[in-house]
Amino acid sequence: MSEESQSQIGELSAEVFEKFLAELEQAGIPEEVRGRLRQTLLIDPKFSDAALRTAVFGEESSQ
Amino acid sequence: MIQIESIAIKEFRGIRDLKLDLRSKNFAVCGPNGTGKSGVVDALEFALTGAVSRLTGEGRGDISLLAHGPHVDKRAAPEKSTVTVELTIPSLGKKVTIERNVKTPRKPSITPNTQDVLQVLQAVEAHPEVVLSRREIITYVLATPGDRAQEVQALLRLESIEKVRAGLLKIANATDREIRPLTTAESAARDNFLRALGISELTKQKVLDATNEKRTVLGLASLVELADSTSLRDGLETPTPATPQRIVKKQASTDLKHLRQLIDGLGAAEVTQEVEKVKEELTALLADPAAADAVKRERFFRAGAELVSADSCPLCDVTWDPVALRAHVADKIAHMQGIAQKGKSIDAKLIVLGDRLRAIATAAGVIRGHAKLAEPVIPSESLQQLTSSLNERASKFTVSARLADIPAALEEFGAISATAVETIGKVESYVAGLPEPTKLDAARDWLILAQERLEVLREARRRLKAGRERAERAKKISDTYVKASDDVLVALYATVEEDFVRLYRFINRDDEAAFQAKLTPSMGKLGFDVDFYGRGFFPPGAYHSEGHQDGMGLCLYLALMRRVQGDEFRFSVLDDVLMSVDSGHRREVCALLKKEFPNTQFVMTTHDKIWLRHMRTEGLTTAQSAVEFRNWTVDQGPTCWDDRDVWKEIEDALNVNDVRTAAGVLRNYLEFVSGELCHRLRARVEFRGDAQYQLGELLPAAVGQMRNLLSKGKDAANSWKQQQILDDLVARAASFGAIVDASNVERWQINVAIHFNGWENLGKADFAPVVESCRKLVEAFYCTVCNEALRVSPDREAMESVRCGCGQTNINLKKKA
Repeated sequence: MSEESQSQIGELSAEVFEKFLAELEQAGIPEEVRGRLRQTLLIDPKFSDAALRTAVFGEESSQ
Repeated sequence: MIQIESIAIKEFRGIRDLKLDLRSKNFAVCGPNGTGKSGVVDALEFALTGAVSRLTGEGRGDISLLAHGPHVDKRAAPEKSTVTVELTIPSLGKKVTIERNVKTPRKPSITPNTQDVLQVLQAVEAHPEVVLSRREIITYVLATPGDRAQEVQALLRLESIEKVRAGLLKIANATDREIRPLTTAESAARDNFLRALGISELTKQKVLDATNEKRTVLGLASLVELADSTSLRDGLETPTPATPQRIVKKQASTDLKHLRQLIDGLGAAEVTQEVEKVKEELTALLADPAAADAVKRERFFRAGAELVSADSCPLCDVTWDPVALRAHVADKIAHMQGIAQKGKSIDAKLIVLGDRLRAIATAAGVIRGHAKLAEPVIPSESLQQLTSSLNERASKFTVSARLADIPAALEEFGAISATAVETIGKVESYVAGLPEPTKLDAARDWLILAQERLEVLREARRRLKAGRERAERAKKISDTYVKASDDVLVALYATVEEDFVRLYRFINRDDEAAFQAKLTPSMGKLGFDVDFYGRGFFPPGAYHSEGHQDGMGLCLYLALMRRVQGDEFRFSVLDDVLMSVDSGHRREVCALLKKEFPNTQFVMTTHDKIWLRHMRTEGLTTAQSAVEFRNWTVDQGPTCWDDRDVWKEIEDALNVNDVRTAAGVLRNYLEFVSGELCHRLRARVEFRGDAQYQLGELLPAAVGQMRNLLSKGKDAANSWKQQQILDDLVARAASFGAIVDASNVERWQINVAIHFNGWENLGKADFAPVVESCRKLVEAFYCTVCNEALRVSPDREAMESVRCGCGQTNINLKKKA
């Protein structure tokens, strides 16, 4: 995660997101979905409903 | 993060021109109410964030920064209303200057404006919680758990955590809601397929048997397997697109028969009895206004709980954590359990009745499709109206409907319009008049229709499967997120709780050394209960005094800031937050700030001089790191007790022969400085409960104490046989005595000038000597090198020495044993 991203979301939020992503793997969520969530939460933070929906379902999220 | 070196304020709020040198150290701004302290806080906030919270928010009406940020006389020139802050960023080792004006608050001049500097300043701007007022303390201590959670989350920068939580929950709820219509569609597609095949049970074998019977008629090979891609009409010649679609007589007859059965079913005895039963229950309920009202509420809450999907109440748009809101509504429903049972009993019956109406609506839609294929077309608007009418009627048989609307909907439960019945009859006649197909045509039509409906069923099942998978994934992701965030937050609040308890115990160690507290996060709330002298845990406002509550608020704020900023907690403004801390614990608060936060620069405002002294006594601030506002005028803004200002101001007044003003300033200043000297020299003054001491009580006490201390110093030097020091002290005492004598001769005129309206008889020549004698007297209490007033050390117990800040003056008071 870049320092800029870190400053945007705060240290505690980053801690929660990292833990969440780690636990998703244990919950059997596919790597592809985890990758999109990592991008949306940590790398290029965007927390809108639309961004999260795309992260969860991919581009077919509009279905 | 940052520390303030200086702030220069021009034409901003109530301040005309003021510069304060904070030098990255703790700084106190003291002065009576209305002297401009808040202007300094506003200016700091403005410089760092471009906003002034005091001018925004609820209840501020037409007040705005642009219109009301500038000094009232500079409203037309907001560009002249400026705040310039020089600060350091310890982590970068850089000094930075920020200048903002009210006209373009979002375009500060920042020097240097390198990326690393801008990043730090953006972080400060995004979270202005470095400024804490007493109003905000209340939000940590006395707020509802929901409000407290919001405030604390903002302080801890947890908004993104909650935003993601709400977003993922919303997605999970939405995808879950999508399953029901997909299930209904799959069910309808299955029924249609079964009707087309003329079978009652959907098994592979029954489908194959029915299909192969028709395929045999057409000479097609029998199907042996029914896989996902199997076509029932495999091998059948594909009709060309130009072939007009025909009504399949047998299927249309089946669909019409199905619709008739459904309509007839409305009049069946068991359905009529069910309707009557619901009517009776409703009538009984409505006859009891209290029960009806309770049911209405309960139904409202249940409907509301289903509608919660975003981070706000669906009714009033107040922002909530959706999880907390659903829990809140569930609590209310749980409290109405008895009523809920009655409501649920009625709802269960209504749902069954509503499903009957919806089934007729769907079947009528199918018949309308046949009517459109007739030649000529059979007008079927009445069937469209029937479909709409039945769906609307069914919508009143749901939990979200108005209770009062249900009886009327029940009255017309079985009503089918005559025009719709007439249209159905026309379609029946048309279909009956269709020629009977040949066996081959019938078999071909059968296979085509069966395959069409099979494809619809397959698509419906694919969509349902995909919807379930999406819902399952969304729920799993949302649940995992809730667990992960709860784990982190519980651990976080545990550390905050521990630190808070330790800080609070420190300032109240005399009577609450065993103090305990509980910070309990749950479902978007943050419970806060504190131990009250071992009698149990209660909300902070239950038994603790206001002073203790203020102490709790401060300690919780400090614990939160330390948790979130760690070593970067370098700057904080405490705006009169300690005003109600009881006097017994003020020293401890000062000691706490100094001991626990040695690297944090606190800027503190207070209207209480005692507080200011405690800050100095505990070493939290020094004489140089404080400013005392003595008064405020709209023309001049706040004026400080600064020696240069005072003597210059007096001189200016005398230059225009304004003796009255000069005398007033002199007297007020002498009163202020005498109090300060009495405190520093530990002079004895007759105690006054209201702390309203006058010049006549303070100045003689300060003078007497100085004489006494010089005398003690001489005795001590004598006992140690320090002749040179003794000689110096003898000279100093003589000089001091002469200055005092001179001022005594002249000072009477001050009171004359102020109290006896004798000023008209005095001129500059008369009053100037008074001023000069007083100036010399005051200077006699100060170090000539560091310009700091002398003080006795220590400030309690046996006096050991008289010192100044730089060490130039150090008079030993302890005699040789």
